[in-house]
Amino acid sequence: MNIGLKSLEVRHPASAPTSPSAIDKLDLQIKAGEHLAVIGPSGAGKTTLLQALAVGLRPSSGQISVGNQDPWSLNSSLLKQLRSTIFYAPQIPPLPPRQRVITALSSAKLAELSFIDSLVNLVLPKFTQQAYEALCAFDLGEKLWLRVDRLSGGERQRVGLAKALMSSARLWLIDEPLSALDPKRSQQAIEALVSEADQRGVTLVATLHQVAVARQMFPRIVGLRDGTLQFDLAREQVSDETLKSLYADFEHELEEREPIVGDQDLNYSVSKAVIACR
Amino acid sequence: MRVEAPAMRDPAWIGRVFWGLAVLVVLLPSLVAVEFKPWMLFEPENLRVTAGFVMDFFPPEVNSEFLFLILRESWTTIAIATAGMALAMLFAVPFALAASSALSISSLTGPMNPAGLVIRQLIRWFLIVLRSVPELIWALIFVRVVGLGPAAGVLAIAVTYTGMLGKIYGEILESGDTQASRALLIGGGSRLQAFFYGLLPQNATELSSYTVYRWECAIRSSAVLGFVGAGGLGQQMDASMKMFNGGEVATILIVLMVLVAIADLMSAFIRKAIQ
Repeated sequence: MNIGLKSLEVRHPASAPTSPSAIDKLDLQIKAGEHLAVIGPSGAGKTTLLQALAVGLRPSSGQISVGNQDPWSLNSSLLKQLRSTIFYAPQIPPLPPRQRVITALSSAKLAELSFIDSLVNLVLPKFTQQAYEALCAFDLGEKLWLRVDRLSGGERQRVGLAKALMSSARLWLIDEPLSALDPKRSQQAIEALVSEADQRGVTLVATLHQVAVARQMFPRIVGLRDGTLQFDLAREQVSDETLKSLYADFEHELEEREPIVGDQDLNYSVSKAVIACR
Repeated sequence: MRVEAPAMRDPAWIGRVFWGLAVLVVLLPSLVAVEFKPWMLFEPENLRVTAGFVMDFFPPEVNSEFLFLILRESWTTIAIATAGMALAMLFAVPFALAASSALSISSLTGPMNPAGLVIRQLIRWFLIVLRSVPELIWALIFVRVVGLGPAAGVLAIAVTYTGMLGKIYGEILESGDTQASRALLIGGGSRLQAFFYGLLPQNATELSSYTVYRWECAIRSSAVLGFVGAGGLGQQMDASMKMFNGGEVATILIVLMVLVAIADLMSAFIRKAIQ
């Protein structure tokens, strides 16, 4: 899905009128099927950018086009249709604790279901196979019928990512997909995500704290700081100096560290489930 | 990054002191206005009158004929409360969904659109009308429409409780975590889908415990409605009181306590089942 931003400016609805915009004069073109990582220190506006792309925040000025149309000029039914082609995964996955994993995953299908079908699906799940395969990609196959509140933080985050595989969206916007995962899990999760996006030809925009992962997995990297574009480079052109200046005064975020809040289940081995569905 | 150090004194402090004093300023005159003098309860003359009245309650009436009558009337009372609640839920749920801002699509990305705002406000006002008239008054009205008997009680409870449930359901949906339902709406889901896949699982225990608590209240109020001719325990209590039969009143009160205790057990059971 093609995306075009032209001197985009986004403010948070709750912010004071005097405070600087979260996104300021941003120009960015993304071609359909491209994979792009957005990096930058905390408070750079990464999440705000994703929300604007997800048509979840209205820009205060500038132009945005998603899939070659201006979302804010569409009527409500066309807007709904456009939104159903976009999948946005917030950093903290919005999963109701008392919902079962199968239901949480099939909620990614709601836009394609009639209201009656979606009610029936609560009682007679119809996406069992697809949900199981999506979970397997993140090594969670055995959690299919569990309730979300039985999962660890890292497992919830991976269920949130598995939702992307369930949706038939053409644009995936993934906010900090690895924030609750340990390095090994991170690698597995990002590989699953990127290779699925590749196979489906989906446009993928992910914000990342792990600069190394961004350089390894994404051909194009955008640096954001204080809401403005610092650089927009192919992976090979991103030098250590570029990164240093992007993270000036935030050097501690550039260092590779073990996540403080991580998956507790470190004694994993590749489970039988993965072997079964590959 | 250069950031100014925050003030070391809690900035919320002045506001808290102000509102604490404001509550006192409002409360004291109202205590004076209602002549709140609790020590009067313990003056010897008043104690004697109270004791005389309470002593009337002993022993509770336990002859089998009366107990059987009470059992039948309890059943009527429960039936009035349950039927009234069921009707109230039937109407309250659509009103709550329509009135709750948690399912507003326009307010996901800015101010709610004016039409949505007006509709939600109109529903809110309508619910206020329903619940601001006490169920006793509704019962008096319905007794004139459908005649003496349980039907008037059912309608009275249905109307008042539609107002209460509609308001509180809507507010429970707004005060819980709306992340999941917002995400579903942003992803192109419909309002009802966002309710069933987002808001309902998020708020199921709150909604069910509030509903069972309201059912308990409905049992109490259906007992009171008996006094104006809606049948059930209240009507029996009215008759016993008019005959100054304290023993019978005591039995009826004990039965009411048992009913409320059962409702409490049910609430605990349902919450546990959903948990």
